[in-house]
Amino acid sequence: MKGSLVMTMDDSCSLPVQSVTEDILLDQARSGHEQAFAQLVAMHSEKIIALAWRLVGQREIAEEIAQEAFLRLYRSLPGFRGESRIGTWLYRTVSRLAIDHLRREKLRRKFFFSRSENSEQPDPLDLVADDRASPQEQLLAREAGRRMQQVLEKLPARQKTVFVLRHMEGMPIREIAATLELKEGTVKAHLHRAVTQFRKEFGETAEANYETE
Amino acid sequence: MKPNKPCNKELLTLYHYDELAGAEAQNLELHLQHCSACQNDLKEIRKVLAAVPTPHLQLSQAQRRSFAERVSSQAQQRSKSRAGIWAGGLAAAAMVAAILLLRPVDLTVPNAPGQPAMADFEMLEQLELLQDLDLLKDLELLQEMEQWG
Repeated sequence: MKGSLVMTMDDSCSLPVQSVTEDILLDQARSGHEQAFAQLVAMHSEKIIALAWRLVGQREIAEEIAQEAFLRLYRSLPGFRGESRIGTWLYRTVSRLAIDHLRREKLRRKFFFSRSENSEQPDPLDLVADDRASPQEQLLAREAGRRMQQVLEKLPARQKTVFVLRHMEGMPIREIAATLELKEGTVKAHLHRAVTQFRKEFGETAEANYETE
Repeated sequence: MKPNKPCNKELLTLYHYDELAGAEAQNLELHLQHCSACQNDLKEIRKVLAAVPTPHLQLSQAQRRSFAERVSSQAQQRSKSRAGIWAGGLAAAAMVAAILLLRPVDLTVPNAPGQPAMADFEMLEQLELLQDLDLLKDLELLQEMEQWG
């Protein structure tokens, strides 16, 4: 085992240091150091939960998905040879888990004609609104968030995932293709269809916003 | 995309996301100079996508820590339960093996359905003996009748 590097979870890691830190923590976690694993989870939790949340739209489910991804990482630790970075591995796992969840949810709704269990809860996309903005701006931001969620819900799981990864996470198409194990051409087609859907649904709003600016 | 080539809407989306390679991007730019329909489309794509918000989620240190602790303890629990399952499975397998090894050896071949067992054959022999005794009795009776005339 390499020299002990157990930090408190409050330590923040700058990016260049993070990669070295991650390697050491990974080594320690592989040797059964539970605190090192917890440290790895703390390092990646925000990005991973945020990705899951953007994909499934519900915070609670997003945390469940993120948790499952970390548990799978824990199980894979003995065989994790570091060919891909932990972040990439987690992104891939969360994307796949989210796609599975979205498909199951769609089927469930189809069969039981029901709305989502959490549909009565406040929309997490309310967080889109900036607290420092004026009430009118906040209202518009909330409305945009709600409409975005509506459009996203209409998209097939894979199309939605491609859109979220490219538009919101800024992941290049080549990486999306590798993450979702799709051909680049397929990813491009999914992205274009998602954008077309947004143009249909968002066209009028965008026009109105454009005119008021 | 050359100026005289048909418009390709997918390329506009990819151009917006800066996903076109050098030559492809140059061709599209050339096409855009002459195609007002594509110019308008690109303008609309930019406008619409700029209006699509990106929700941001920020976790406090306490939230991160609590999540990490939850995951970590869950991982240990699963690992323990998996070890328990393995231990249980191994113990059960050992017990079965011990029973098989310590059991007295019985070399009788199990019977296929419909085939008589050894006990059935023994019973059959006894029945035949009984029938023979009955015959003997009948013979004795005949002899007695002959004597009586």
